[in-house]
Amino acid sequence: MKLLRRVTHILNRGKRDSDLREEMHFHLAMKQRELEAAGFAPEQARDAARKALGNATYNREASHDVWVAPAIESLWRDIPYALRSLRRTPSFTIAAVLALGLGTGSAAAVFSLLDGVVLRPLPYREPEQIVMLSEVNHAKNLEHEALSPVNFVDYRGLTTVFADAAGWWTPQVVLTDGVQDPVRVPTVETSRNLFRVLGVAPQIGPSFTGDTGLAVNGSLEAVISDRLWRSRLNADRSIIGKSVRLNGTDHLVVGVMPSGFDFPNGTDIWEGLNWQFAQHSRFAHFVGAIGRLRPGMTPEAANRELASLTSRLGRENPPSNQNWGVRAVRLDQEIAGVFRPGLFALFGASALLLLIACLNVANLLLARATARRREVAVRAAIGASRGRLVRLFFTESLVLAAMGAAVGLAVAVLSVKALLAWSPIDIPRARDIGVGAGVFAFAIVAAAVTAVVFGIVPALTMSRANLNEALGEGAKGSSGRGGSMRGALVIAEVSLAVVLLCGAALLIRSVARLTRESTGVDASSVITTTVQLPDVAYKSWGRVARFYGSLGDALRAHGDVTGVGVTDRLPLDPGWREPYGLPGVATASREDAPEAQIVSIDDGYFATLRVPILAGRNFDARDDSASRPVVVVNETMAKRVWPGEPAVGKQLLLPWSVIGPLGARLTTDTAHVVIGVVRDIKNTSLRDQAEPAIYYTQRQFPFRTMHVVVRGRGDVAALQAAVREEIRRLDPGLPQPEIKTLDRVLHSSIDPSRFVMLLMTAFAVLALTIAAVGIYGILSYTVSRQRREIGIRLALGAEPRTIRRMVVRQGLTMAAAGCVVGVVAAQAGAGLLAKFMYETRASDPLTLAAVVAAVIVVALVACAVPGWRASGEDPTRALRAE
Amino acid sequence: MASRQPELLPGTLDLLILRTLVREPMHGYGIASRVRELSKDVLRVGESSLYPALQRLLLNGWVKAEWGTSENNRRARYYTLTAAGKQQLVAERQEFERIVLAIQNVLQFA
Repeated sequence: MKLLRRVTHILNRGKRDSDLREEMHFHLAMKQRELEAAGFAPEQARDAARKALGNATYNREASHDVWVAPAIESLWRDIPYALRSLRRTPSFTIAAVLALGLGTGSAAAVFSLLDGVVLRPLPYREPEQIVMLSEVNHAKNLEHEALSPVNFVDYRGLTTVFADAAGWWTPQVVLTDGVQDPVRVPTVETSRNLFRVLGVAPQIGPSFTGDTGLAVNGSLEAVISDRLWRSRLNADRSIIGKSVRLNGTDHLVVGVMPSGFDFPNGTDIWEGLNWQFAQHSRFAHFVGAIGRLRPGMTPEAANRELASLTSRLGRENPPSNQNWGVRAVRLDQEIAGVFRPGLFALFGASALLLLIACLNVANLLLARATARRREVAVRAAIGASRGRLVRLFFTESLVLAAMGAAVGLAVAVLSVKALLAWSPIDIPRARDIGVGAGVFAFAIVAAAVTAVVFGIVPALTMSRANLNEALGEGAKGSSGRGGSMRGALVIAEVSLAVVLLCGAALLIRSVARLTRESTGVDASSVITTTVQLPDVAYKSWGRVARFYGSLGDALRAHGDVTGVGVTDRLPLDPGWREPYGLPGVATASREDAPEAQIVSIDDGYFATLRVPILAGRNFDARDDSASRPVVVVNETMAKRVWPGEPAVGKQLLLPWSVIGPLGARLTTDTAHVVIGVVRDIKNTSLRDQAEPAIYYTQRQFPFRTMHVVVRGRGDVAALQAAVREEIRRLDPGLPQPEIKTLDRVLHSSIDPSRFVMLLMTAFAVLALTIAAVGIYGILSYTVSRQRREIGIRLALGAEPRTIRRMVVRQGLTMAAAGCVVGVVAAQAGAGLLAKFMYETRASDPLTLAAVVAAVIVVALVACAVPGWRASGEDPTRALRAE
Repeated sequence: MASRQPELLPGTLDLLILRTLVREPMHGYGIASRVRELSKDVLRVGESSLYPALQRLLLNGWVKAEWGTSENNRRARYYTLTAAGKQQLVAERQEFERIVLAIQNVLQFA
């Protein structure tokens, strides 16, 4: 109550003042009247009344001070003084404001990312109850597979964990309307309950008919995204009830989703599921699924119940389900993925950086405070109260912190903008990232806390200072107290910087190792694009095979093109894993048969990516749909199946003839002759060795969707234009493809590691710079305090070298102590980065040595200037100074 | 001058103001006059301490201030005792009497 009254008073100061003035005026008039009644002349009466009332302004001020705690008022009055005094020492002010600004700014920026990507709830109903499902097979080293549709139906129907669950798969869909160019649209064919499970309804339209479960009703319906509705359909509200043509078939539009909704993975069209999940196969893993846990069910309990079901399914259907399990992960964690630990680690790093910045500013303030002891003593001597002095310095810190916070906010806003605009890395939920109110609050709180801490430490040491001692001290020029505390602060700064440097160095090493890790192909100057032939227009598999043949021939005719190839799976992207047999070896059941990845390529693929044929020959024109079936195997396959024997000429039994609607084998015989062995191409991830792989020629096993790889001489843009032109010439009905460099595609898997590495490195460099400023600051300060001492030494014949060594030794001692503490702390903190490290140990001696070397070099640089200044001191001047 | 205006014990000014307001709302000048009259000119409330004291009472919520019309038809600011102010008066009065008693005891028996 009292506080409330106080605040309203301060806000109403004008009214309160005029009230008081009028009140006193009234008082004056009454007094005057009384005196006149007692017989005084009017003039005399007025003067006497005025005299009695005293100084009106003083009265008003005194009344005002009752309301405004005088501290706040004088704080306000101190601000111009603080600004003036900060302006007098510009290098100190700039260093402090920059340190604070960079510290709060980077922390606020990382907090924005963390908030947008990890912390903010997903825009769905009770998002914490939604889980994403993926299947795992530890025996096959598969940690994150799509689901078999039949398994999914069992998970949904045979357990009690879900209130409901929805599944989808991702067909390749081209939208045509006969007016604009055909366009490939990210599409899922989903069980009709998807939106219900998420708890999101279309902004217009009734949604799918029968959207309560997995039931199939045969109606061709589609829901479209707000983005597609606006960009392609002119935001026409009457689209509901009309049709869109998808892969040549009309689908009734039954809804437009709200703006921003594009689950899963940037989808623009949701087709209603039109086939029975239950009637598909337990062997095929291609369905994505989410479930809404029933109330009270936790992800842990759900996973336990699912595990008991999957082990039962494994016993009942060993060929398809043995060793397979399913894992439910909260949807927000699944979407944030590896960015979750990454951003937490970065947030920790930015907090360390902020701490370093704070230590540095505290240190600067402390040094400044000691340097101003004389000033303080003079002020105290002429009557400033101790509290008043504390307040004065507190105000300075507050002003510094406010300026730091302003710089910090600017840094945060700009760096987040820049990161989102220029990042080559796909950050999940990037749309949700913004510097919002929470971040502003964060920066202000950080600034306030630093102000309090910084304000108090120097102010307290200051007020403790003995007046006489301080006044006399300047003349004597002793080194002053507080030196050990400042030394400790610098050591803390250095050690925190070393922690960050170690983190950054370990990540750099990991990413460098991953980047150097050979994929098995030479991706330089290679561009790639994906061509997808619609199954309506390309019903005939022969036509599919001929299309890719002609595309390759046409591109090869271009002058700048030195190689063209097609494949249904690029390196690092696992192909279909299928079992194979050997003639004369009985295969008991499917699950006993060994598996290999199958990949379909053309004759130019290996040559374009410079993958050498180790034995036998490559495919050539002789191998077509009418000739005997042939395959090329990779080195791993050859060694595994025919160790110590030549693989070429051996036979493999490969029964698989149809891969859904995606690909089909045109030869009839299951026996395939191995015509060549090719060097391994990594086919799961950069980290893992190649799995056995069997290559078909696309003339014998065509796929409708293929990746084209083109190696060229000229610039990338010309190459891209050539690819676009040839695709358009061959079939104007195909959508314009997106073309990337193969390098970019292959390295996208290490993007999160690189992202964390880049930011961590930036933080570490900043931290080291700030720590160096700290070392420099304390040394130049010490040198200036010891001017007299140095002057005496020089006058007595000390070598400048000795003086220099003395100063440098002080700096290096602090740096070395910081290194020791930092390296030990880094060992403890390295666990946070485990997910991003690759074949690199936290104790990696080379990394640690590099970090320590870098710190020592920077420390030497920081020592050099004060060292030279000290040794170059003119003894006579130094002795006379102060 | 100094002999005519004895120093008040600390805190007594608030007590006196509160007490004068018990009967009726008064303006600042009225309060000062009443204190002077009742104390037979012994206690004089200096204006320089009266108005800050009134502000302090307002801040603590013990009095309310409203503009009204004075006996000679001028606009004047009238102070009214609040319920909290009445409680405060009782408390301060007890405290005051306790101290006065203590002082008297000392003076009598020391």
